[in-house]
Parts: sequence; C-alpha cells; structure tokens
Amino acid sequence: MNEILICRELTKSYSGGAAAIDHINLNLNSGCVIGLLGPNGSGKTTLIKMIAGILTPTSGSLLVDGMPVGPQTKAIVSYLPDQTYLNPAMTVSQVLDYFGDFYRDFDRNRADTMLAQLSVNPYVKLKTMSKGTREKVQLILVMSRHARLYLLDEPIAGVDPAARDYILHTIVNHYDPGATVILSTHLIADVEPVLNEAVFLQQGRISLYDSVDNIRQREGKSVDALFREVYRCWGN
Amino acid sequence: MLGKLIKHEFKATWRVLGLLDGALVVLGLIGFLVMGTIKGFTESDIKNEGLQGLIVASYITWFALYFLAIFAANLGTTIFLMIRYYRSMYSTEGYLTFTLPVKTSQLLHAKLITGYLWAFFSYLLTGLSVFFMGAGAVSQLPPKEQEEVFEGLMELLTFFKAGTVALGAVTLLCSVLQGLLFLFFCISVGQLWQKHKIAGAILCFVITSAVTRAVMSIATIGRLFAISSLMSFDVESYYSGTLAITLVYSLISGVLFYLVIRYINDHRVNLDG
Repeated sequence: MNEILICRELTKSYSGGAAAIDHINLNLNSGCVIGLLGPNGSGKTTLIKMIAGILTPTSGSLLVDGMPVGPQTKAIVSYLPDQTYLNPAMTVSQVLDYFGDFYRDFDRNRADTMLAQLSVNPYVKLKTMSKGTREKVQLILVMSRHARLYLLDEPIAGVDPAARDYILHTIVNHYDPGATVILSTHLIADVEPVLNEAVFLQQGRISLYDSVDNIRQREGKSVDALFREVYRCWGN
Repeated sequence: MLGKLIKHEFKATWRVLGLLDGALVVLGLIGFLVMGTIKGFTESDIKNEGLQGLIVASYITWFALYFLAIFAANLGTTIFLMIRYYRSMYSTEGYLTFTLPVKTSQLLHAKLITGYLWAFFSYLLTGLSVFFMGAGAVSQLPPKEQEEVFEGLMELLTFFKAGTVALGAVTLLCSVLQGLLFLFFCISVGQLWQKHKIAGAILCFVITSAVTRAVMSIATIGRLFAISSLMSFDVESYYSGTLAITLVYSLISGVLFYLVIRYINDHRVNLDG
C-alpha cells in the first residue's frame, strides 16, 4: 500500500495563539476512508487546509503522494471546504467548464449524471439555489474528480438526515479504488459505518490512529462511544 | 495554465467592464453629436442675451455631466477590478482559487494581465471619447479656423522631442501597472486582518499613499531648488527629468508591491473571518 500522506513534526501556529497543529507525525495509506475526528477547535480544518495548500505549515514537513504541497499535489487532491465557496454569479454549467478546464481528472459525464439525479438545472445560477442544493453541487464537483486524495471538511455538518444519507452515499460510491478519502467530522455515529481508519485529534495533537476494526476490538466499543468518552466535557 | 486563468478572468469580468467601456464609446459619440449642434445656432441666437445664457448654461451642464460620466466609468473599472481581486482571492472563493493546480504567482499574473488590459482599454477609450467630442466641435468651424486648430495641435505634439514623448508613453504604461499593483497590494495587506479586512485595505491605502506622496513631493521640491535661474530653465529637460523620476518611482514601488503580494499569497493567506 502506498503512503498518500506523510507528516513529520508538522506544526501550525497562529500569531498570538497556541499551536493549532502541534508536531504531528502521521503516515496515511492509500485506498481507504479515514475519519479525522475531534471536537471543534482540535485542528481538523487546519490540518486539512495545510494538505490542500491553503495554509503554510509553521514548521515540519508534509508530503502528499511523495511530493511537497504545490501545483502537482493540488492536481491530485480534491478538496471540499466546510463552506460554500463557488462564485454565486456562475451557472452550474459554467462551474463544470471551470473544473473541466483546470482538473484533468474531472469526469464531466459523472458530474452530469449526478446532477441529473438531483434534478439540478445546469443553466441556473448558483445564487438562486438553496444552501443545501449548493452544498450538494459542490460535493458532486469534488466527487466527480478521479483524485488520489479527497479532503472533505465537515461534509455532513448542519444538514438534515436525508441529505446526510445522500452525501455519505455519494462519497462512498464515487471515490476510485486506490484513492483515499479523509473525512473530518465530529458526527461520528453517522460516518462510522463508512470508515476504515480513524485519527483522533485533540488540541492539535494525534491522540489515536488505528483501523476502525482494531479500535472496536481493543476497546470493546464503537468509535462513536470511544469518541464520547475521550472528548467528554465534564468530570472524569 | 496561465492562459486558462486569463480566459476565465476575462469571462468573469467582460460583462461589467465591457459595459463600462461601451459607455465610454457611447459618451464619445453623443459628445460628437452635441458638438454638432453648435452649427444650428444663428448669429441672432447668439446675440440674443437670454438665449445666449441658456446656450452657455446648456453646454456647461453637458460638459460637467460628460466629464462626471467619464470619471465614473473609469472609477467603476478600477473598483470592479478591486472587488474581483478581493472576492476571487480572499473571500470564500479563495478556497477554490488557491486549490487550483497552478502556481500562486500565476494567479496574480492572470489578474494583473487582465486588469492591465481592461485599465488600458478604459484609458484608451477615454482618450478617444474626448477626441470624438473635440472633433465634433472642430468640424463645425469654418475651414480656415479648422486649419488653425490643426496647426496648433501639431505645434503641441511636436513641442517635445521624440525621446521625451517616448519616455512619457513608457512612464504612463508603467504607472498603470504600478497603480494596479498598488491596489492589489492594499487588498492583500488588508486581508491579513482577522476581521475588518476591507477597513485594513483602506488603512493600508491611506498610509502608503501618504508615504509615497511625501517621497515624491520631496523629490519634486529638491529639483525645484536645484534650478539656479529662470533664465537657464529648460522646460524640455525639466519635464523629461520629472518623467524619469516618476518612471523610477513606478518601477521600484511596483516591484516592492509585487514582492509583498507574492509573499502574502505564498505564506500568509487568511481565508477566515
């Protein structure tokens, strides 16, 4: 199995604050769905942004598929941020053209099929759509790439259960074999069935990294139950 | 990839900026037609005091509206380019922009090239618009007076040597680029603020403008003191010297603005807040 991600003493500090990511060492293998789990402020989004190339590490090294973060890694990483990020003045069709122009791994047919399943009119401007539909369009765009690594930041936060099912179904059924999905969330119960591995982040450090099966076997409980125990907010 | 970035930059800007440029052309044509109405007035109209006042007031109002509209169209182009740069780079749209498989320098170069071309078109069309209006006025004059106007114009154009005119053109072209870099620099610095990014950009604009104006004023005053006597004062050399200083200032400040933007885009992008 190839290593899609290697972090060595990776650190990100913001001026005037504690390290958001604190000397992380992590090797992630290709071909699995990995849950990046932790409460709010644990550093999940910061780590994902560094892998995506939006944030620069303060120190340490970060390799994606053996390469330092740059245009080559961005060509193989498909990133879904935790907010709507497309130009609202564009139509869906224009956004599809945009992705097709810049990402060689973008599968227009796959995107068209998924959009048709959702009955999304490609000639409609994004600003006329509901927030939920815009989020689904974004997910479709991201999952229509034949990427090596998918970075999905809180894809199911703030959506209703039906939409949650659609999103998880789309993720699981549209990533290529051999590709890796890193999915950050604090809604463990919903994603646990689709996870192969889990990384627990706590105050910018990794407190646990193992396969979901090993965690269940060793701890005798689900990942969700373990998460609630590790991150409980009141007394020991 | 730079070509694709430029293509999409034009796609995102052509509607608004094309409309503003179109407005400049239309204003020039209207100006030509308005100036054509001069011929319609008879000598008795002009001698009539009440009508004369009305005619003068009408033309003054037209000129005021015309120059206001020209100013608004040029300002609109600048503001739109600034908004486009801010939104596509540092608002939530930046999540897509900065994860495209391109170098961050290419993102900036695409914005600079398209912005420069739009700004250039805008200035060119402004010049043409004023020229059209002037041509409209001149076309109403008797042939002899038209000749005098052309002679005066040629005298004005040949007042400076070709080298000075070329230096002026190069300085103008560099100043347009420097102006664009200055605006992008202010926006890039402004986005470093956790909140109130636009206020940060305005603050940067005010401070940097004050500093650069002070530097340029010192240079100008220093040159004026260097003039030993009015008798030996040479307009040509003074003018070309001023152009050379402006060009050097544009190049140095432009390079500094460019390097700061590059550093910020490579290391200090802050899409939160």
